[in-house]
Amino acid sequence: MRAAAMKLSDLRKISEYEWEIPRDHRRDMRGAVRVFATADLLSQVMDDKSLEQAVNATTLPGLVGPVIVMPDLHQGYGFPIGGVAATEFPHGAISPGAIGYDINCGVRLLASRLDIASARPDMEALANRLNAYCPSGVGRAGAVSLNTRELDRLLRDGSEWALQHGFATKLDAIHTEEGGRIEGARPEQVSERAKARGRNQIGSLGGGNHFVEVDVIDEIFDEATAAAFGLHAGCLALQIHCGSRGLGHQVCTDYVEQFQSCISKYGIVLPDRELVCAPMDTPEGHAYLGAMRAAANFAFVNRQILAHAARRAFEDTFKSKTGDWELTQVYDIAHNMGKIEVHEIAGRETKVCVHRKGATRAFGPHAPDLPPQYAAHGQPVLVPGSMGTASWVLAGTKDSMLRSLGSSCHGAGRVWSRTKAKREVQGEQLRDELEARGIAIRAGSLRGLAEEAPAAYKDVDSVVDTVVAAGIARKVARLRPVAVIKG
Amino acid sequence: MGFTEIEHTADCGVRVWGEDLTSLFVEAARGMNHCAGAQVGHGPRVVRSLQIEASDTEGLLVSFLGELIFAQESDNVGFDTFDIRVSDRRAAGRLAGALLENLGRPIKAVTYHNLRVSRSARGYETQIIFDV
Repeated sequence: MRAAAMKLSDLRKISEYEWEIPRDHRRDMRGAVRVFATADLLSQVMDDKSLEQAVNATTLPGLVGPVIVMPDLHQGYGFPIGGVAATEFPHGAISPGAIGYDINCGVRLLASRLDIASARPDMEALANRLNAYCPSGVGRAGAVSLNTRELDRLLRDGSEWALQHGFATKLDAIHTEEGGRIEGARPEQVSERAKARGRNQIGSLGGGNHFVEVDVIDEIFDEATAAAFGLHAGCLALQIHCGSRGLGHQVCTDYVEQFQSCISKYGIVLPDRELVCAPMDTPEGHAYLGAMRAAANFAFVNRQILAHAARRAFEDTFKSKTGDWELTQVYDIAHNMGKIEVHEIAGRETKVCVHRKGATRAFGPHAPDLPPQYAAHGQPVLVPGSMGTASWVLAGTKDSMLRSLGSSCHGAGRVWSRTKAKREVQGEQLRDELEARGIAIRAGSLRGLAEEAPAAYKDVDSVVDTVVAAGIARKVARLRPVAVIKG
Repeated sequence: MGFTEIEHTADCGVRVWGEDLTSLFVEAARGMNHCAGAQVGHGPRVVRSLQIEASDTEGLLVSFLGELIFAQESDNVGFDTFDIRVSDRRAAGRLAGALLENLGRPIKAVTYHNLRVSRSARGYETQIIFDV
């Protein structure tokens, strides 16, 4: 069912930062759509299909509550990027397309006590080492290559595997969503093709919008929470943005294909084949859950090994010159994931599968799964900006649990197509501009650099201001980039 | 027969047409190579046989292009010559190519988003969105 193009008048304004597409907008909707955005941010997406895709997402069987969309929304393929949807466990549907091909694409943040003034003279050397030690882009293998048995252990154990093999500290795992190990991972449900794609990519960034970035903690908004998170003003931090590489991409591909037959088998009607799904309590649903969790564990290990390499780069660059160069993990979060959680929805505690695609978990104070040190403050929410712009550390709030399924935004959100970005921006010129601003750039491809130009994205400050004004996150610190490594 | 790139916010897409299903599939492969910035090298040729089936033509197309993605990622091989025969639900033949010189923008997956192979004045047409 194709809808006419959405207009702003199709949305009911709840506040300056919250809008609704009511359930009666289209006959096949099982719930409403709630959009956290300003009118200005919404106007940037009225010409793409993100709102139509949000409406389509409401047709998922077993949907509980509204589909929620974050202010960094843009069109995806089936499910909007920035979208969150909960389906009732166990009979509701799970949809691989509503989680994404890059299962557990996410962000890891580490922080140091090394001040920028001390580090600046060696920033180019650090960038060179990060570029060398963290494989990125295309055609470069990862740091680790495993046989099938060992790969299966990694898929099952996630960060525990990394800890056992010397790539992680105990604190790294504690400061990772779900401890870096999603229970219920079933490596046997991951195809041999997926394993073949991912086997040699462990500890690699990949290309596209994935990156390693060195930042300065530029401004602190909540001293107590920043201290708890280990953030020190004027000191270096490091972000890693990547996911489950070819293994995750193939897992999603396999199950999107397999679930095509579930439509007729389970009597499901959907407006877009990319939303295919199966009830969670079916063999197909069980299989995908197990495979998805395995791929998620792969991504946690991927970011862990890259963090290990980044620590080596910091050590090799700074150890002989200054103290306090060590990187301590702040947090690691996923922004493409399906999680079984309990939320209060329409006044009832309900166990659901929360699909987040381009959206992060943002649990409030004293919510489950928070590290003890963070419990009083809420979960760190990591929001990387576009290349060369600010990034943010937020904290989840009590309101996010009630109003956004414990979720928040994940980044700036694209506004330009890649084609337009390449037309409008010269990669070499962009690199020179960023370097003139004191940002060391290491990019595998100038074309790829142009596609990731800041102008291709929304203003991350506006996105963050929106979630903060809406009450679903609060500001902790703002980061400023000093080195970017991308494929 | 041919293809043209279509705009998509975060990903890449092509509109493809061909006089018959075989040429549609060949153009889809060329379109995907274009999106990926795949530059097939001039080294020794690599030849692989292809034999796939699916429950419908769209599924077959996704499966066919998936074979190319798998070869690019796991073996660094790009295919640029397609000696294949395609019917509604079956494709068979040989793919030929070589080690890739460059892959500017690796494709993660072929999506089913709005994927519909339909008849038109040009024979067969479809639109494919790739996750990059």
